[in-house]
Amino acid sequence: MSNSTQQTQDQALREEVSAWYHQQALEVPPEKLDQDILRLSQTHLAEMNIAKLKPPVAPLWQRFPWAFSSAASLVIVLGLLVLNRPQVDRELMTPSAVMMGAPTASPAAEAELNTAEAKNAQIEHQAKMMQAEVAESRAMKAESRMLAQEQAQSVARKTSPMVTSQASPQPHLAATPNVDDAQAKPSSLAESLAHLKVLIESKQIDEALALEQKLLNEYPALSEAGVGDNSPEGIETPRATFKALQRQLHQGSQ
Amino acid sequence: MALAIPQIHAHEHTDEHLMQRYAKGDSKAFEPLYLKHKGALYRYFVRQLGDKQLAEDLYQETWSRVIRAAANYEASAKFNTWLYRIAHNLLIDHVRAVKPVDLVGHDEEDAGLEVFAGKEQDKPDVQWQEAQKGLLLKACIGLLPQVQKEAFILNIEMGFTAAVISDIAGVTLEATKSRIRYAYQSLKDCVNAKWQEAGHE
Repeated sequence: MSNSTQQTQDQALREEVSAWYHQQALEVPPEKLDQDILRLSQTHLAEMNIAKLKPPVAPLWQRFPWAFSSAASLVIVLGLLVLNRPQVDRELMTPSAVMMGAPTASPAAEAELNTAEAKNAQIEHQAKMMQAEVAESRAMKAESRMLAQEQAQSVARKTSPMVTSQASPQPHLAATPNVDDAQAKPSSLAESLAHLKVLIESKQIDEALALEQKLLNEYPALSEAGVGDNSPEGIETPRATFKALQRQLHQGSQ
Repeated sequence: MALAIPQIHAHEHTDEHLMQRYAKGDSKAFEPLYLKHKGALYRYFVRQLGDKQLAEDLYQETWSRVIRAAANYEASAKFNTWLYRIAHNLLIDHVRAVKPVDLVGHDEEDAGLEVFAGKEQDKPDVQWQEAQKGLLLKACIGLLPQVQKEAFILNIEMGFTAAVISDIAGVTLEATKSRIRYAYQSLKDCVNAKWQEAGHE
């Protein structure tokens, strides 16, 4: 059966059934139903108009939107600052150059850095230890020198009466083995004279002359000539001792 | 210029424009719209349900929903399609609520057939035959499946195409075409069968 024949048959079928259908009476809704529906439409319209006439009461936040939004924003910002205060403080303390610098080093690089720091700390510790040892040795040397000086001074004190009475140089030789040592130089006149005697006897002429000049400068009375160099009891005075050592020195130097 | 005025005038009387005017508060816009569609919509319910009271309830509810939804009506949708989609949804809700057998109102069809039988020998002309077949058709429509019945009435009563019907019923175009074709064929077979049962050739 061709397509056009099918369409023709369908069309005839429809026309036939349509003719039967339109033989029926056309039902319509009752008059009362029409009035009810039309009244409903007018009532609904009136309700809509009344609703439109009533001004809508806007909530408070709608009447002042800018004030409320600004306050809300402020509260949010302050809240965030309070919540993140430790972080903010840390960031403010950190220089900006560090913040904007290169990205954080890798863990391997950090490990190398830590190793280098540990080595540096160890080297510094060793250096401090060495410095402490050097300082300790210096202190020990200074202590030994002071001890030697004290011993020399005590010996000189013991031998000074002998110098004044017997003019014996032996104790001074033992007490002052090294005449170059400045620490061992005598401070009193008797010690100086004993030291001068030692220098003369040891043929250190230059040092003896220097000491002679020094004693003459420090004790001008030694150069004064006069009688009574010997005490009434026959004991030599320092001036007589100096004169005798001076004669001995100049004879030796010639 | 003289041609433009009638065009605007015609545009102002379309269903969509009347509905928009009503939605904006024009109290006179609804009545012409109602008068134009009331008969077809009423028959849509009556001829499917066979129960006048139920048909009137659904009919009134359909218009009530149209009135309430007027503010949300969009002119892009055809008023016809929108109106019958509301009616279709109400009918479907009702069909789901009751047994399908209860939908067919046999009383009126039976009464029609009795009238047909009583007057059979009085008017043997062609016009009388057509009228009697019309009564038989009314009974046969009640025997159609619901989906075919709706598609047939929307097509023959409102003149809707298969595309519009498929849009209203929410089914595919092919399914709608098939429903319409089967409905016409079934109705013709039913009428002829009843006619022959009555002793006619």
